[in-house]
Amino acid sequence: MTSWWTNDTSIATASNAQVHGVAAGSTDNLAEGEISTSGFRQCGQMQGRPSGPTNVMPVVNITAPAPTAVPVAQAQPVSGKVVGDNEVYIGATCSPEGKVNPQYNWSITQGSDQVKLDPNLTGGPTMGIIGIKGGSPNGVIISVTCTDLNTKLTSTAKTATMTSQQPGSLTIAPPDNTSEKNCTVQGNAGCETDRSFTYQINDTNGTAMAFAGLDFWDYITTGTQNSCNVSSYSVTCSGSVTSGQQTGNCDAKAHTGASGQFSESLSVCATVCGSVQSGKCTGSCSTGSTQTWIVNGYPITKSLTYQCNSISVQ
Amino acid sequence: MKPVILAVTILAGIASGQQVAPRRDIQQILSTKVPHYVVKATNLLQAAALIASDFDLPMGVEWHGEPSVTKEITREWDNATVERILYDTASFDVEYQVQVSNGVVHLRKPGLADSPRNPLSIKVPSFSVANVYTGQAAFKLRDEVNLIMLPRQKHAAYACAGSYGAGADETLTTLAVRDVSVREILDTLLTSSHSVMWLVVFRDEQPGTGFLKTQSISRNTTDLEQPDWDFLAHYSDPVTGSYRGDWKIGLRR
Repeated sequence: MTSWWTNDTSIATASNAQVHGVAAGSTDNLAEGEISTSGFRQCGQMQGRPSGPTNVMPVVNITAPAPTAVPVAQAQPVSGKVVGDNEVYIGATCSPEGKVNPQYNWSITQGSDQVKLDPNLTGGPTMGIIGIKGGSPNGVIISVTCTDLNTKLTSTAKTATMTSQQPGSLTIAPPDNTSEKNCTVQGNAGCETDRSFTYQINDTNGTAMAFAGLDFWDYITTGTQNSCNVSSYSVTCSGSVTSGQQTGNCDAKAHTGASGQFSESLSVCATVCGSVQSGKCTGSCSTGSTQTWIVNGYPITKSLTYQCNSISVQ
Repeated sequence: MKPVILAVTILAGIASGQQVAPRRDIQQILSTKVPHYVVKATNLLQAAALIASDFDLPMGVEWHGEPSVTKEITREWDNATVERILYDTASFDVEYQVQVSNGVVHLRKPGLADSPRNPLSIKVPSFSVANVYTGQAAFKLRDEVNLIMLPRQKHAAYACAGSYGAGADETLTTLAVRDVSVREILDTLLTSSHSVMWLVVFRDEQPGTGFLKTQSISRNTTDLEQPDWDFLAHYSDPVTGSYRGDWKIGLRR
């Protein structure tokens, strides 16, 4: 064929046996030239103008980097409100941009028991994925197509795989420091031990949950052993408790940064611990406690042992 | 006696190793021109948290009544300064006024802020903390102000223990002040941290102390925990209590 063209160059152009899409839509592709013929009593070549329909489809792409995980939050134990972060956002583009009037069609191909789509973002280029239940790694597949509302043509689907992560454990990350100093408790002299470190929030598979906005707070109850005579605990949510024990009067106190970590400071000040000599408290005592962290609404329990020279966490 | 701020030091990076750029001077932030900006909010409190988060603008808010009250704000700007955005937004709720002092934008009702029964106006003879997180300092301030409001003998105790989990944007702070108001101490704690807002919510009920009653947005505040406040991290929503990832990526729903 010596020449190639289309009936609508705003949709597609043609040259040298190749058709190039310009915008989503349909047009005819045409060519003209001499067509070889053969066979009995045929005379070499004849002029021909074949044609055929051409459909230019919109193309959808998921914007990089797509999220690979979504956090899960459940209702807080007291208020019943879901306050921790449990939504991530995924974006898509529909091309050729500026030549299509796109509507985005998001769906959950796999893992609809673990996540749901944000209904407020239906049809748009950004979709919120809301975690509702933890799952196995890469157990969620999100799919998107785009439809050009002018031509009603729909792209083929693109997918993104992600993991729905439910808080399941806390692991200690360095730095982890312990120090001792003199203190007073309600006017009585004592010795104090402080331990500070960083907690990494992990999911039920033990994988780090690297999300900003995970909500956390804690409460502490005393076990049977209490030779330090601890009568009250200060905890993250209320700061200080004048009597009794903190048992969950909290909605949300603090949020993690993007790493899904937070700093923990543990302390005990007790008169039976004596005073500091050569950097160490001279006395001796031990109080066992159970600490419950509420992370995005999920309880994670730690056993604490407060002593004059150390605070252990199991 | 002249108020004295003896020392304020940020001793270490913010909690959990997050890296955040140092906060700019407030006048510099307010004069920043923004090509395009959108606010969609349930009320002025939520709008203030959004603006404070987007522009790293320290705000002290004295809110009266229910934080989730609906008084919707929808507005767009082109080529406006942060200050213009702030004042335009505040104009949606004429009961509140904007005032800048101590490096903090204050949002408050004049009658409430000036009331002699407002516990934030109490002068604290002396207050000091050393190498503690923002929230721990705020709790200590609350306990000391509570003793001023309601003088009493503390229960005898021979040991105390505890735990404090520091949120994003909290910093280790050392502070020593004399004869300054509670409001000024909150301002200092805020500007020493990377948090974007201190928030005091006033209720209509009256505690026995004669001071206006306050309520934390994150816990049920008892009379022994008056006055109470919250420090909000970037993109924390005081209306829902949630972290707003949608705000962070510019979705204004």
